Amino acid sequence: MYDWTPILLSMKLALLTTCLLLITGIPLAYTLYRSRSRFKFLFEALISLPLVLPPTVLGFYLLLCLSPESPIGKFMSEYIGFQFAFSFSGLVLASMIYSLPFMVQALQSGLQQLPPALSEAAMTMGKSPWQILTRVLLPNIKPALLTGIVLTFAHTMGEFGVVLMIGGKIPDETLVASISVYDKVESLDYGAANFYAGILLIISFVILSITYFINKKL
Amino acid sequence: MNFELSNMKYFKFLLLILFIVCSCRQEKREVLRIAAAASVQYALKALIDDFEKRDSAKVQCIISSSGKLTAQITQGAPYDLFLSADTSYPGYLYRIGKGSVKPKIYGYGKLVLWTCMEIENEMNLQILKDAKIKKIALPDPATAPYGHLAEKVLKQAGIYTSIKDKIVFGESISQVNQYITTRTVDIGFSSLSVVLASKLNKTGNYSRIKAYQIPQSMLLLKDSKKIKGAAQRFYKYMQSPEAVAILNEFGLEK
Repeated sequence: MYDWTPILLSMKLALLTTCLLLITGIPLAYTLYRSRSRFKFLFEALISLPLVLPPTVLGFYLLLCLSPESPIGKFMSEYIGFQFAFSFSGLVLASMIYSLPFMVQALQSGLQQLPPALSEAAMTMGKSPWQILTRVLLPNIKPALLTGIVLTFAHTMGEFGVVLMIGGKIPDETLVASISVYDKVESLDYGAANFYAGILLIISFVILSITYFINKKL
Repeated sequence: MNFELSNMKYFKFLLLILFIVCSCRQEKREVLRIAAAASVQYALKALIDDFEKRDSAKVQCIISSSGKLTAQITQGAPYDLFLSADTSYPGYLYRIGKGSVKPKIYGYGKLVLWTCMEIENEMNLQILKDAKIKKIALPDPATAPYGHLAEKVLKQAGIYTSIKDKIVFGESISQVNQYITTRTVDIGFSSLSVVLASKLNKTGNYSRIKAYQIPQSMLLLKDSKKIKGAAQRFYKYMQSPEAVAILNEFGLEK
């Protein structure tokens, strides 16, 4: 019987990251959508960085910033009592940065495809920007919302490089399923590696199938 | 599906998920985290099985190359005990103030040449020059003590430059083991404690590179918030006759 904790840990990480990114991603995408600033392109580039950046680069900088030896990490662990490097909370933070473009880009492109007349009409009726977002825009971009949620979840489940850099393979804490596959192959335990790899494959396939099925109906 | 976000239903649902996920924690049994060099992983597994029969603590192990684990420990990784494949990494960690007591030697590692190919000739360093051998695996000398030793042995035997082009480096001894057992390479350097592991015992042929052995030491780390009782007990157990017998089974005796 194989140990299920890496899989549960992966799911917990992905679920938490998705929820937090939904909460932060919606206002962010909405701000970008409404923004007429000249420097908007800079923010868009910044948010999309994790798409093109090697995970090791992100992991390296996070490690430098967050380790208890660094000024920020020291401040965090001494005054707030929070250690990010080699801990689950560190993985959540890293995943949020790493998966940010998947959420924000999906939402932003969903918003941009809506006819401007929709929010203009709502505005003439005296609705506030928040009301326009929650009552008019979001209900109209359900497929984009779903895409953002699913991509974020799946992407976090499959995260490897960043976790390897800042996680340190600690069971119950940072040993997620994708790292487990690598770890088991390294210790020549192909049976266990097969188990984790198979489950990740099934989860990914099921998630994507459900998405395509629902998107067809929406 | 009706998105009525205005009544905050979905927002509350999200918060509920967050709350549930954050609050589900595993039961609080005393947990001991051992960071161990890849070469001792099989011996360590046997030691942990035996230790857990006597002790209530739960032991977790983190396996990597000694150099990488050392880097993680300097970055503040929350490990309690470090089993290195040499003495210099624990010595370094102790010097920079990461250890609570001086490192202690727990065994002596032996370098082996290991292959899963059919080899007619006698297994010695000279066969590495054979044209039939196209790829030779070495653990990365920069972070893996056995890789460092293997490189030294090859240089001292005067054959390093002639076989240099055949060498491939594995990230740690684990990756080298993987290359050898899957026959990705023809032959490679590993440790006796790996080839003696029961599940690998019947795999391929190995021969010891005599006259070379690496003293391996362990370090009780102090950065793990407080020195846990379990860490102390495992440290003591490592020096007991029962543990020494297991270490000897894996060829770590002097």
